[in-house]
Amino acid sequence: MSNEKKKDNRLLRLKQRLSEVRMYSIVVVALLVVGGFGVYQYKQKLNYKQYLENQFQKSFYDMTSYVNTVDNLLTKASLARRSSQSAPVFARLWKEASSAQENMGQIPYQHSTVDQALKFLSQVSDFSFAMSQKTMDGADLDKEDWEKVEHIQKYAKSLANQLNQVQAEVHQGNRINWKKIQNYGAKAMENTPVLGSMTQVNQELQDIPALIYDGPFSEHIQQMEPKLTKGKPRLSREQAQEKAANFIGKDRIASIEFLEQTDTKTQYTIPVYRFGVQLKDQKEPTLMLDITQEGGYPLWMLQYGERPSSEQELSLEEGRKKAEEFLKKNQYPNMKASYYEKTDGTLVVNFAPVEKGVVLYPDLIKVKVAMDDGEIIGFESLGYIMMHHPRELTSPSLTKEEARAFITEDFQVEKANITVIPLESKREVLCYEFKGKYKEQDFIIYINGETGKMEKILQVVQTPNSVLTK
Amino acid sequence: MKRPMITLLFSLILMGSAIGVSVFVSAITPNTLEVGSYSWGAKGEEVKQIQTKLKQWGYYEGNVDGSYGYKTWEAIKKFQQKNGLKADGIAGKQTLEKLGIQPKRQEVSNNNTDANRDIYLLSAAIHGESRGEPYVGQVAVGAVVLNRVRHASFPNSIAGVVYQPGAFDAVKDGQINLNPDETAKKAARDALNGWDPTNGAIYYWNPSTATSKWIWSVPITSRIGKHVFGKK
Repeated sequence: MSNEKKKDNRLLRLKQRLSEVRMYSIVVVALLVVGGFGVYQYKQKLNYKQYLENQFQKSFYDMTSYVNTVDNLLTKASLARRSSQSAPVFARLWKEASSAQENMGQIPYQHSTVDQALKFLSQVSDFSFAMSQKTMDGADLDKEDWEKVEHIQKYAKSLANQLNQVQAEVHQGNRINWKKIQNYGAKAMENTPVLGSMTQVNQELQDIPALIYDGPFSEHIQQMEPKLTKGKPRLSREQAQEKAANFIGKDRIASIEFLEQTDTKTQYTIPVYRFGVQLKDQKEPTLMLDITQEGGYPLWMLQYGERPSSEQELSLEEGRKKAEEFLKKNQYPNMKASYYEKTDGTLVVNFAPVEKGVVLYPDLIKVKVAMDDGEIIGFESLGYIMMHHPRELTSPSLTKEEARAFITEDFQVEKANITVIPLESKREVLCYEFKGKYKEQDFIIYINGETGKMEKILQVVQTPNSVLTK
Repeated sequence: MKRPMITLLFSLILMGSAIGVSVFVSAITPNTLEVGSYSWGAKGEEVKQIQTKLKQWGYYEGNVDGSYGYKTWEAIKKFQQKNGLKADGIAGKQTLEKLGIQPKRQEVSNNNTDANRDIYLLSAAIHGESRGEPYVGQVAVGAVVLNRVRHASFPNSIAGVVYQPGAFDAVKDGQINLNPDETAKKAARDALNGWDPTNGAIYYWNPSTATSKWIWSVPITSRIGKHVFGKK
């Protein structure tokens, strides 16, 4: 009996031990799996981190080298005094400065640490392009241009020096801590040499006087005043609301609410009153518009309510007519439709005023039409408000035939107009506009009415639903 | 005896939660439908086509409104059952074929690729950054991106601005990869067409979550929905 019990006990214990061993092995295997998983994840994370840091490092190296080239080229440019000599230098400067800007934009600096440096590089590139254009047109750079070159060169040198210093520190083993750069702004960086020097450069560049030239990043563009509304009498909120209601059509409005007005402390914006409108056929406010405080012109309007589905669809011609009628009703006379595009049941038509037979493309207005019932659901007139003003329109000194002679004979002219067009720098030029075909494709070519220069070439992209240019 | 039990349990829980977390993460990571298939929430011309066909054949009784809702879903399921297809309520390639609808191919015409690329990237940024905002607020986010492209202190292309390190939260956390909805695409088109409800802003922030004090030094140009817009 006791023998049997002993045997039983032994059996039990053996069983127990067995299970313990098994249990241990399970635990060990589980731990190994989890541990292995962790190590794998960690290694992968390190790989990604390294890859990212390498990208940043590369951008930093490239940026430094481009900035040095910019500095070097600017010195060379100032040595030349004749356009034929400086043209290739400016062409290279344009490219190198643009590459420097691009690489700086890819480094995870906080934007406020580098915004001035980025701006400086954009402007150097843009300025160089304007200068290379000038030299290509056969003109020599004038005294002012050379002063600007010298000026830019001084700052470029300082930027290059700072970056070189950082580079030297990196070579001495002070690795750049990208994580830190990403996380800390301008404040917490005195002890990080890389960031410290960057902030210093950025501050130095902040003092650079406004750089004004014939290009899109020139300072004058940010500082432009709206020509149409500047100096016009300022409306009260109630007066503006009346204007808004008339613009939408009082019979359509269920309620109109004032939303906000531009803070007068904000520089270089068009001061506006903003209103939200609920239309009679809508359950909630679905229309918003801005009325300029000066002069009371509508700046933009959007109607974004859900539209009941409808089988009916207007033709492009009918849609355009609706837009024209709307402009006429709101006292925009003599507007000519140019480009249009239809997408998702809406049509956007571009309009430009015609004065004494001259099309004024800078004074752009866009009208958006719902193609189911012709309702006007959008209006945008920034171009018109910024640029519309009484112009002294003289006839161009070249005749149409003389201007035509600047284009290849293979171009078949179908239509010619006299127009004012805006360049990228917002400078306006009086041009002949030739519409026609070249190798089966439609183009619009603008020839300067004074100099014969080809100011712009647009390729017309025509589909059943749109006429656009590129 | 007890210890190993606990260790075992513990490691099992650990493993389980590790797997659980990764499953959870992959579940909340956006899963996009196959291109050219339509499901609950889809909108547009194609949905209208589907609804018209379903209505003609008596599967669908709702409005032909181009919006894939419950009724459309039910109708598609009924249709799929009748036609020996997997009744999952998703109008995929096979279902569309049976409906006699040509699956819309991505039109790659040489002429419009530039514009399409811009619209897609901009609408992805708008969707990631501001879905749920009022429509005008979405146009405004698109306008800020475009204002930056034209501004000297920022990269000079849409992709450069959108992917600038640290510039947008939606790029940082990958929400930019969500499929933009129709509203975002419309907003992107309006922004590209020149509508700018921000009055020239190059920054925006959400006052309730913005952590940088610096941002409040930026003069405000406009407020729409949850966002404040500003320019220096």
